[in-house]
Amino acid sequence: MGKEAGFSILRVRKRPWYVWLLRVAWVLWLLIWLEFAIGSRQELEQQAFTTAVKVLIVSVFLGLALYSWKLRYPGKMAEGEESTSRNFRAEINDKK
Amino acid sequence: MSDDLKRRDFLAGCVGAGGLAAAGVFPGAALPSMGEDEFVSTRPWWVRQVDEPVLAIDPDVYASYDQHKNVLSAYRDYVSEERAREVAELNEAMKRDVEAGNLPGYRREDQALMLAGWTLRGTGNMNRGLRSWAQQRRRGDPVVPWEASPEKAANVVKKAARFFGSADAGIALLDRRHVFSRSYGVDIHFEDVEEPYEIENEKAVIPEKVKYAIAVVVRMSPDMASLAPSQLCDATSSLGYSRLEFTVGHLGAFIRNLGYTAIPSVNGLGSSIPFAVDAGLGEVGRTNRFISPIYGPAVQLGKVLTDMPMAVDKPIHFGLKEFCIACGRCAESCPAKSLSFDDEPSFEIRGEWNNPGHQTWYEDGVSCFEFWEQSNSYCSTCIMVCPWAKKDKTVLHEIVKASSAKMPILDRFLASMDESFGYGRQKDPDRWWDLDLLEHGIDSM
Repeated sequence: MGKEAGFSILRVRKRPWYVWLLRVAWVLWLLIWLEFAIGSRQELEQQAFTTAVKVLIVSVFLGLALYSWKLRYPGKMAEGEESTSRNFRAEINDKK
Repeated sequence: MSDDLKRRDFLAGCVGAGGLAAAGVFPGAALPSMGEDEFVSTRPWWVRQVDEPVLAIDPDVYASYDQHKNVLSAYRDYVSEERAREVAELNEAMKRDVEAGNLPGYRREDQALMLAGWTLRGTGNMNRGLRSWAQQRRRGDPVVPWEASPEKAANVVKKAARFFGSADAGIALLDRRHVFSRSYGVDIHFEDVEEPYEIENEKAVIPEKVKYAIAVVVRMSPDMASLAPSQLCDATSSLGYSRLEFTVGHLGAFIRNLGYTAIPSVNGLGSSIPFAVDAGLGEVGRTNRFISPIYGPAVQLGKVLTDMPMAVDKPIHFGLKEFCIACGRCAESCPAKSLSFDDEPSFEIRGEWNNPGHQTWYEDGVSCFEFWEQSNSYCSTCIMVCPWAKKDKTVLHEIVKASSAKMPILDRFLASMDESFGYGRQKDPDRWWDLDLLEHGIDSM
């Protein structure tokens, strides 16, 4: 955040494409395991169902933990990096 | 997840599965049906057509088999009298336990279901009952042979097979070496005659003009197959034979009504497995039995021989040989240790009951049959534990099958995953009676 002639300038970072790709992959991963858990339940395969639920729960929590950790510690912006309005909290955090 | 599932394997599998998921693998994914003169293909995209079956045949050795060498017919020729008596005593002891009705899967109602399953099968035999070779036309005769392109004829026959209860059907040129040299007490010959005929206790004659074999597949109930070994599991087997009797009998009548010769058969007349392999319905696995890429090993086979000109199918390959080399779970689980532990399939037979000249994992038929006797069941443990035996209610099974077919390097990992997820373990037979069953108990929830 910088100050120019009495205005506050928010420099916010746009997430790179691979972050979105990882998010899509994560959602797909969760969907596959959810579908597998439901299917295993229908197939009366108790152990497969239990394992699928465990993998699903661990995946959800790992994903959420990573997401909140990146919110908290987003990393510094490179000099001259373009910004958007999405990540302004990251800049504020940096200043703190 | 079990300890033997390594993290690296798991990640490799995830990458493979993800790639295939992205490529669009869905349960039951099949090529669309085409115009009326074209084939109707029900093969998943990961099944490849090949010119020859993957497991080779030695043309100098492979020949028609005498069905009377089968262990079911000739068990006493293969063992000592003492051994036969010993097994008979074990069988009697088990029967007493079964009659007491205290064993899960062998209770009175389980046994009654299994015996009832044979009802229709009991009415037929080679050239008897629904499998009669005689013309059974409904209206007028003779029927002028129906004329259609071979492709259309093939399509029509496959549709009719489905209509009469077949889960899958394929067509092959008749390889006479698959026809038994002797079956049901008669020699089988090919002669230049118009209609098939039989002289009792002497010979059965197939016309020379019969050049096609239609192979049909009937599904067993996966729920019941997962109860092996038990008489409840046997019930899906006995009913399967009755359904085959119905299917091949009606398909034969359909072909005759089109003006052609039809010779329906279940287990007699010829071994159904090579017909089904030639017709592109599946491959032979470590069990030395047929495995369908769609339905796995929980199937039963029949065939109809005919002179109706049809376009034929090619054999298929979906990586089963490679998978069976990597897996071997059926051999490990076989209670009689009858299945081969060899890495590669070979031409070395295990006894006179095997038909030599084709590459496979030959089984010890004697010890297998003895376990049938001792357990008072048809066992089927090898069907239950096979990773290809799945109910296919989840897309992941399809992804696994496609992964195995296209990336054999994953086979060992996939087999270990299957075990880790608890597949192939016997379910509680008493719970079967509480299931919400669909037709023939095949697709129950």
